[in-house]
Amino acid sequence: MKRWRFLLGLACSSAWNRRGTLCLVVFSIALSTTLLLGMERVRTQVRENFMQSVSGTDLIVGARGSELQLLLYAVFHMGKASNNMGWDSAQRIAQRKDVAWTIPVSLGDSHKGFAVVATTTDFFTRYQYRRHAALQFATGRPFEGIFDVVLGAEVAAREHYKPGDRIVLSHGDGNSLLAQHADKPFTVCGILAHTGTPVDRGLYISLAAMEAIHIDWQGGAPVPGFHVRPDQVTKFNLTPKNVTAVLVGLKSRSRVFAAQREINADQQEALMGVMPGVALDQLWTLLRSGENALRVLSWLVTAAGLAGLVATILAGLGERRRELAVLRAAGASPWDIVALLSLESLLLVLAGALTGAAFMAALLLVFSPMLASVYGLSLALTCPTAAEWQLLAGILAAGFLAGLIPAWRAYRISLADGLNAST
Amino acid sequence: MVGDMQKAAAPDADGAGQAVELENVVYSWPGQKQPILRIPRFSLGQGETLFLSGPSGGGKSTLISLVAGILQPASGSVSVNGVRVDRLPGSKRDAFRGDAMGLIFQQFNLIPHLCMLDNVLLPCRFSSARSARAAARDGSPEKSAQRLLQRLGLGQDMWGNPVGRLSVGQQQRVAAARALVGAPPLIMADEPTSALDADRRADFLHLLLRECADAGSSLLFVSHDTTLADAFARRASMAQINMPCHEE
Repeated sequence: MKRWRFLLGLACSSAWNRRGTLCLVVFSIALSTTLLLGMERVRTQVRENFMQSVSGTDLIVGARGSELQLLLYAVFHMGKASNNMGWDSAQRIAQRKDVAWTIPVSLGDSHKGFAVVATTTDFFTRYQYRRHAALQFATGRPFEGIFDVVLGAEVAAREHYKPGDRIVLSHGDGNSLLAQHADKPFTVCGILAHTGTPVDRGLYISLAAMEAIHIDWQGGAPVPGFHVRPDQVTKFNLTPKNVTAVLVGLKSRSRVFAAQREINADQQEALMGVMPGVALDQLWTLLRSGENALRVLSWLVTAAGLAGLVATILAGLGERRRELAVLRAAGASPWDIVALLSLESLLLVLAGALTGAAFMAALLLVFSPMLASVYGLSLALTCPTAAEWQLLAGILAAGFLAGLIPAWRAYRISLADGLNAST
Repeated sequence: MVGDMQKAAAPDADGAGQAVELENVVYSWPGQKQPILRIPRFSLGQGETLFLSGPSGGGKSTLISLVAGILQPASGSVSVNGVRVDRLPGSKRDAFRGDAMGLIFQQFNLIPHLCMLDNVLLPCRFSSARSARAAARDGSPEKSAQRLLQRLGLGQDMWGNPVGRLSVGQQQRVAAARALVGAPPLIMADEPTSALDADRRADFLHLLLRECADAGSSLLFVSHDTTLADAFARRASMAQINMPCHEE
């Protein structure tokens, strides 16, 4: 034990003595550690984020089609629009005995790149994220008037909106300058508190408002010569004809399979009930090969870092032959030499891994606000997870094995040189 | 196996009085048939100081490696303090070297990244016997190292310094302190003065002999510089003890 402590001190002192060369090696190991840890962190956090957004929803019902497409579009505002389902179907689902609540959503318009979601006020009371957290208002209230809009936290923060501001929605994805609903501006009536989910990146209006801004539109463009002023819209029937999807909460989760089966077999419309967790699993399965490729690449980068470590220590051994001979003269066995060199490699890898973990913490600190605002991805600065500890242990193990190469070489040198190493 | 080791470690009857005893030792470099060393008989008494002269490449360093247990003879016996070094298993040989021997080389004796004091303490880290003897004499290995450095003219202000900036003469004195710390029964010095100026040589030798006498250690001093020989109790040359061409 005392011997090990002494050898460890000797390894530290020796490494510190050559810190100029070795810090580059440590740096390259740190970078590969950051890469490995960062990949793992992003991967798990993306899954966690996606899962949290739908944690309170038992089923998502929409027109029959791709389950994944419906989920991504209706909840995450990503990908291609799915087909709409009829409003009467939405009401039929809401009236089922096993349904506790429904939130109809209708998408399609946007504002400065953020999705506009037409829904009911149930959205503010029923929608749940992160297990059982309900939405909170940071300021203001739910929409009441036709041209009221509630903003997600991120929308308000990025555009510096406050209650009372008037904003104009764009038709579709907002790429065409002509397709603005400029004639019917909305007034901000409330701003939601931050949730770390796609909710932060949406604007919320009533289903009636969605109808109202499209009264005088047809086929994606204003109908020429036909214009309805904002104060006239209430004279029209603003009941929606269809919606994008309905988020469903059941009274009992155990009913989910039965409810899904019955909705899928609906006689009046070709509907589909999607269990969010199952659809997300499909997504992860799709992404797995890409993830694996990235993981292999990261380990290759790590291997390159370790190869640099081995090469540097091997190159340094030549001028340390005298040192090894002096240690042998003082009573060190060849195995002490092996231990010394192994400890040295292990120390360097440990320093690299710790630096890499610190790098990642720093990156998270700097970039997590940006990632949250651009990708809606909240990366928390937390203690390493079990999987990350495993990665760190893997790096250390790989470093230890790599360190055996110069250790073995030093063993051979000290056996061959004995006391008579010349420099 | 255990019996063998005990036998190897036990002093044999007639070797007990000798610090070093070689009998019929033959050694040749790996791959060479002609032995470089063939020593019928060589011994060094307890507390004796021996000047061993010989030309470079005459096998002096090889002799030291054999006594130190770094090299193994092809045949014959090597005993230090009555212990058959050639019969000890590898790890015990290394431990025994740390316990019982102090070595000084021509130059580059020091670990460059350790300070002076840590260099001197090196044998105490590997050998608990050295550490215990040093502590018994001076209270602790550190105090023992400090006493030796002081006596060799290396003042307290230098102890914590890195050794890289020391002069060669200072480095050799640190090496001497390291060989002497914990009073090993046998000190072996391989051309320790050849990197020094002429007037420093005598100084160094004087200090070394004084400290060996103080510690009660035997000294095997190997050099080609015969001007130093007068200070020793006994003188010998490699030519007298090594007969590589004689067949038995």
